[in-house]
Amino acid sequence: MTNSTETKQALLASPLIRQYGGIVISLIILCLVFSSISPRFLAFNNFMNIMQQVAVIAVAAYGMTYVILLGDIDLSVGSIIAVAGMVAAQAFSMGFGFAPTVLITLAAGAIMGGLNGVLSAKLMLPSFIVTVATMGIYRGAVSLPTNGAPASIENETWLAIGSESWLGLPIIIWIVIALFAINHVVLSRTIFGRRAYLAGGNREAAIYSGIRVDRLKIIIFMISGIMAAISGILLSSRLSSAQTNAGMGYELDAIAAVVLGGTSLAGGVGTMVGTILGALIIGVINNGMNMLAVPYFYQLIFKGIVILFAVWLDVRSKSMRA
Amino acid sequence: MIRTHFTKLLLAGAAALMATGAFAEGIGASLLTQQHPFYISLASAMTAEAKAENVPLEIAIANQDLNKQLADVEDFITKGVSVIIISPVDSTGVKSAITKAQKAGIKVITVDVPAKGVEVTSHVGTDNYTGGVKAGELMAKQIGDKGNVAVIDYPTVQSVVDRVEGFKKAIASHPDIKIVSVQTGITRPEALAAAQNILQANPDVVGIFGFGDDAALAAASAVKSAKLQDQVKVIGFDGMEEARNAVKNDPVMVGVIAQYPDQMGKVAVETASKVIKGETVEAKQPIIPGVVTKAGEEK
Repeated sequence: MTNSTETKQALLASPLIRQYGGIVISLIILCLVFSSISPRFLAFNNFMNIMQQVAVIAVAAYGMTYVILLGDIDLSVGSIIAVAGMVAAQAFSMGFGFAPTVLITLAAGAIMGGLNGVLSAKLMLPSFIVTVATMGIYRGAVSLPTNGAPASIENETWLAIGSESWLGLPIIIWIVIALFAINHVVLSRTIFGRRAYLAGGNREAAIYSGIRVDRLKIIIFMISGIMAAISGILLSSRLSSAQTNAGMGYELDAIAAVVLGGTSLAGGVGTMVGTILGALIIGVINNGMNMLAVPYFYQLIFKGIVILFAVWLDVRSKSMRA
Repeated sequence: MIRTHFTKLLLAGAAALMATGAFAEGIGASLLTQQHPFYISLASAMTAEAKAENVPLEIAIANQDLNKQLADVEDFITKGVSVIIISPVDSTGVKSAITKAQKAGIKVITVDVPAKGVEVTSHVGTDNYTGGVKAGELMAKQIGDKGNVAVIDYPTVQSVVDRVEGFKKAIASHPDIKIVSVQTGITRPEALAAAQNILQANPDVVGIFGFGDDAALAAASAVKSAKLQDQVKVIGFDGMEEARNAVKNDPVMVGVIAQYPDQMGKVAVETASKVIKGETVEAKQPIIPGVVTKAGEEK
């Protein structure tokens, strides 16, 4: 028992562990289990592999973090991911170049996210219902240009995002890191970020202190839409094609990543650092089980159990600190 | 207390995972789905053949998600398997996964759906054109060599295009048979609507060829609800259990062209183990479909 008390004290001493205790421990445990069974799990190459595979989820989860922080939810991100890819494919086929296509795709994401925000804020509808509805609307819209068939993308710059490296790191990982840095600064160092925490923690108080909560909500859903559109860019460049069923169910992985990262579904509490750790857990589980050749249906079960376990560990370590 | 429980749980988990095993050499297979009888049969034939040849085989399921398929293939590459078998989620979209594997020096075999825009070591799949020809010949025989027929198709899928082309080719050699309508009906409800439209527009139709089991079963329902069961014969393609039962029990369903996913799986694994041994393999290995009628199965 002394031994474990000492370990506990040592762990609690590190600030990262103090704030992200449960999640970091889960991540370490998973890595230890996987690497003890599969020697290739710990290879640097495999780490790059995991980061690339989880990029699409991580970027969508960045946007989701703001939404959940506000006490809302965005179930339409999976559909927005697909629409973004299809918009890009259509823009390229109309002859637009790389930069205009990126702008058009991001604008599409902002419009779809903004629509979620306006419907929820101005019509006073719960975001859960609004985004269940738009999830269907956007998913249906994806198939309109091609009648359900996938559209291939051939622009070389676009495809380079998903396949080329810069300074030894795949470009897709640079994007994940850069977006992390930007979102982390926005959330923790700007007035906008403070307002998001305040409005999510206590909506009434935020209104009385002069924050225009409606406008804040619309902007936050727009950010979620833009992040989902960037996810769609990453996904379609990895696949060199826009699939009409792309990103199906990814909203749930993104929500899981955010909640694993310690963001409260009730709003007001959460960080980007937590979100990227949560996304990494999901990536490590998916990749690790493949490395161990766990049959697919067992993977689904095991993933669910690990998520429950990690959230429980996190809740428990927080209540221990309190 | 809780802590010791954790340790036990973790150890149990680790032991359970270890039991499933992990290896670095052998065959990695990425299959489209595991929720369709065709693919269940394909996967179990692959497993059986791998056991018979004593080659390690790992199967990953893409669940119809191209991104998951790419991730599965990347994980096979990191593991260092010798050959990868893919049943593509999408024939053009699978290109990036195949190119990645080939860049890492791993040979790729496609099964069922061929890949577009990229060369693979071998493709094992149904000879859809020959299947279509067989469907056309069966149709001619069933309707007594004359009359108007219609087709329900799925024009964006190459395998279906090949089937319909084979069907048209066979019908062309029977001068008294005419194809009066070709309509798209991808899902079962869409195929039902297409079949109803066909019967409405061409009340003299005597035969309908559905590109798949679902299309044919939908057409058979449409024929019955239009009370034309004495006039119209329906032929399908795929030969899964539901359609085979319909051929047995439903007078309208006179036959179905049967694909053999079990043969496909067996040949794919055979080919993969030949590739591992360094033997040369055929670039195209067509599996000829059979004909199932009320009289029985003709392979």
